[in-house]
Amino acid sequence: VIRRDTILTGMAGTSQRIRGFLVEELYWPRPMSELSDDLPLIAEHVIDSMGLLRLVAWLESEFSIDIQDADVVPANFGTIAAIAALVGRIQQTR
Amino acid sequence: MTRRTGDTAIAPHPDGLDEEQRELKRSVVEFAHAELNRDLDRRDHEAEFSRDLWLKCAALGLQGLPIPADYGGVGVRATTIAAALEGLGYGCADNGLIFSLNAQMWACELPILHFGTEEQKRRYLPGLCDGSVIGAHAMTEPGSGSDAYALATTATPTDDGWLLNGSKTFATNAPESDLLIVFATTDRTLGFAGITAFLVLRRTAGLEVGPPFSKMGLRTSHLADVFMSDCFVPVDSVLGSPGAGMAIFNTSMRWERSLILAGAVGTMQRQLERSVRYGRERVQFGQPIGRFQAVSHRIADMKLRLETSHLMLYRMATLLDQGLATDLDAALTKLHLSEAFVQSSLDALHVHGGYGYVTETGLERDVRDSVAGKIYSGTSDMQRNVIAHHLGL
Repeated sequence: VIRRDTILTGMAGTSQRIRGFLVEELYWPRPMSELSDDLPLIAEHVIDSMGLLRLVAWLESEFSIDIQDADVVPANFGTIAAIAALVGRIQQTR
Repeated sequence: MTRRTGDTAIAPHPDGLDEEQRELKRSVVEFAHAELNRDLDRRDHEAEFSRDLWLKCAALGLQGLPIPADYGGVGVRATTIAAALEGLGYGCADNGLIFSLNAQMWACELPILHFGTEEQKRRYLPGLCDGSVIGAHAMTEPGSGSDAYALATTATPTDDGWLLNGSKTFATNAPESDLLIVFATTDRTLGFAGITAFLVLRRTAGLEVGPPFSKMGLRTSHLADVFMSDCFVPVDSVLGSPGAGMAIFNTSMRWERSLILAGAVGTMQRQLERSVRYGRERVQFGQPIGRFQAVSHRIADMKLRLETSHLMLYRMATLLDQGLATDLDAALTKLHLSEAFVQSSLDALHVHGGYGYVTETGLERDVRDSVAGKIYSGTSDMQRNVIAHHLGL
């Protein structure tokens, strides 16, 4: 279980927290080790349309960021790495 | 403590508006009373959309409420829009017209404003605001309603654009439309991630609009099928980017679910006023029927629903203005207001007994119109799904 107060930093930390959400909240059914940074989340049905809405809401809350609607596109949510990169970009522009 | 009794107790309190918003609301009520209710029984019976009333609304600035002045609109914040639409619902008994106005604002204008290129905004928004262009939104298909992203309509790339093929249904304003936002899939295997939105002119070869559906309520607003057969659209017809269809649709739905029933709050206040007045005036068994708890409690519940709906609406509008609105908030708002509107409409009808059931009082029309609120923009069941999903269920 990845908890919010776990000390994690940088992109690796962001990826781990996202991975934790997918396992805990979107019920990733397989071993966590298979949930790699470059696993295609949409094609593998890890994220469906409702799950994406929850993920966006969670990211905004978890990382205290504001994700613009125009950024909610497959290119930014296709993999854990892409999501972490989006979070990183938004954090840098604050 | 300020005492509020009788007529002064009917309106929601506090209204939370500043003086400018209050004045706007008053002016919309006066406009609606003066201009929008004429000949409504006939228009409703004959299911007639009125372009004349559409243009009058545009002249007042209603279609342009959410659009910045640079693009021909009024450009006011969500709380001000809520106030204007609440006034519209109070003064205008034509719920179909109100629905058509909302459908254009939230499902056509707003996606262009948020996702369009500068060129697309300048080309389409001024006409949508001044009433010369009517916009429609073509998402739902015969095989995809609540499962909104299971689209069968395809967009196939060509050298210089896209070919659209497929059919849409329940497209509000389609029969009168000049411009449609059409959602199509560029890759069915990607599901929701493969959807792209296109701006399509009604006159485009290969696009046809069916006749308006005959329906239970909102009869002055038209819904129709839309058919596309090798309908070619140029590259610059893409709204946003390929694959951004879901984001566009979700943005549109968040605003629509948040504000489309603002008018219903005004209508619920009108229903409450009429019911209180009738309860005081109508005498049976030697006393006003409002003295009977079977009637007065029904009206008390109407008051409670009006207050909670008003609170939910302005809470939502404030969240939108603060940039804090979520899909959860929008679902809660839409669910509560739509269900309150149906119940308030039924209660007003029952308070008036047989008179409520006949057409000339307009109360039966509100019942027919209100039911649609539990279906359009995502059914009540789907709103509960969204809420539950956000609760981690």
